[in-house]
Amino acid sequence: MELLLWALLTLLGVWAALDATSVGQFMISRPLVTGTLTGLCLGDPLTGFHLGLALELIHLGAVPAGAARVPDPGPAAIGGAVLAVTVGGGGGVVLGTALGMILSVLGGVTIVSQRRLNGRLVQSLEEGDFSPGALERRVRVAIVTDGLRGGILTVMGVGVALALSAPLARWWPVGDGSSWMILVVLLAMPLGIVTRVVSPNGKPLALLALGGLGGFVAGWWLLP
Amino acid sequence: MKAFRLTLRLLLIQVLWNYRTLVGAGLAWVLLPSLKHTETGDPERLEREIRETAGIFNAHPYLCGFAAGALIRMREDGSPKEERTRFREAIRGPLGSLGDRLFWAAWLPASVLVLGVGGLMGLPPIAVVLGFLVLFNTLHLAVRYRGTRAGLELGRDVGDALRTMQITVWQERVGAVGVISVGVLLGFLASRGFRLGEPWELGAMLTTGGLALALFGAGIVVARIEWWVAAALTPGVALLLVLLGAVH
Repeated sequence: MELLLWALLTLLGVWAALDATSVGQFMISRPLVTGTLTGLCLGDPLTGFHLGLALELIHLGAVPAGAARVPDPGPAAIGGAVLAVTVGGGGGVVLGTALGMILSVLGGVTIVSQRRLNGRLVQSLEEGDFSPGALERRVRVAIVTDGLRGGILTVMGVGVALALSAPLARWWPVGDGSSWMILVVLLAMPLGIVTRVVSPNGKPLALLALGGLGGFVAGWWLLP
Repeated sequence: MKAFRLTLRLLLIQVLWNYRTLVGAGLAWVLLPSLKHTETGDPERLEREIRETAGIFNAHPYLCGFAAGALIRMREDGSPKEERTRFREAIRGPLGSLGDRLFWAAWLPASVLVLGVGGLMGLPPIAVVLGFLVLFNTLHLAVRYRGTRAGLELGRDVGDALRTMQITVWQERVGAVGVISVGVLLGFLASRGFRLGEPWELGAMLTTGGLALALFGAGIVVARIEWWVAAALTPGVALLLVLLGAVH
């Protein structure tokens, strides 16, 4: 992979890591966004989108309320998308999703470390000088370390994806159609969780049936 | 202009998020220009104010403007420190739970699902991403700005503005859109499977569909468990399918 591409993907990972908590929360950090943009950088936005949507559905039920421990799927989707595009087809998306899940959990561990580091930064303020300048310096340190965290996670994810893509492509034992079926099974339970999380009053059946009918009609008659 | 500048600073309110004071230090950084303005010429008093402002505080990041704006207004109105402390403690719970329910449990999933289904139906991937970012952030930024302005205008009465926004009602409406989108996604996948699959694949499709529906139902039932427990269950099933497919 070219150096420029490495740099672009690393920058995307840094931005995604910062966006998740520290700066903005514009949802650049969502796997739907980072996965699709990675696919675009690699010349295959559709595979990037499929990978991003799969990882998104898996993580959508994780509500980051209060001090809950959360995964970090944004930078993870970059490595996942690289694997999905380089392996190709439905098998690539399944394998990319699996790698993305692992990287996302790993990213969650680094978020905990970042928050502990922030705690130490704040504690050092409390124990000493709490001047505006000292506070500004801590803010800059927190942004730099969080960005570094995202950059390192991304480089690691892309490196693992590139190293694994050839052997995994040779090993993947099922055809394209079966791979997509596996992906549907893989996403079924997370999608159920999302349904419960978003459903008003926890009674989703009537609304699900209404949507299901519309989706079936659209898929059967309206689309080629 | 004051509300706009404060909204911009609020984009970094979680920058020093930690397990002890949560967003307290971030709130102190957000309020720094205002504290410098009111405590000009007395560095010791300014340091004391920053230290107090940096104490434990938490709220949904998009709704922190309500609190930040109100705290600035209360300082300007000369509210005593005890009243400001009570206000901080009283408002952080509602700002946290209302924001989590509206944004994380309704608006984000609904935005993803609507645009994601659009992408599966043929919308170009880049249009999906741009559409998602524009849709999500329109409400996100509007709420951030409106909350900050309400806080600056109403001070300690900012709760009135929160009530008029009817966040719970909107959460239910948006959530309904999310559930309908899940239904559309399921119906669409089912119809494409039957439409595009070969006749001899019907048995495999029905088996897969049945397994997927069972797992989907299980997801609805066990939604309260940690996300990763549920997510970790399904790769096991998928691996089993891979092995069965390989054997077949």
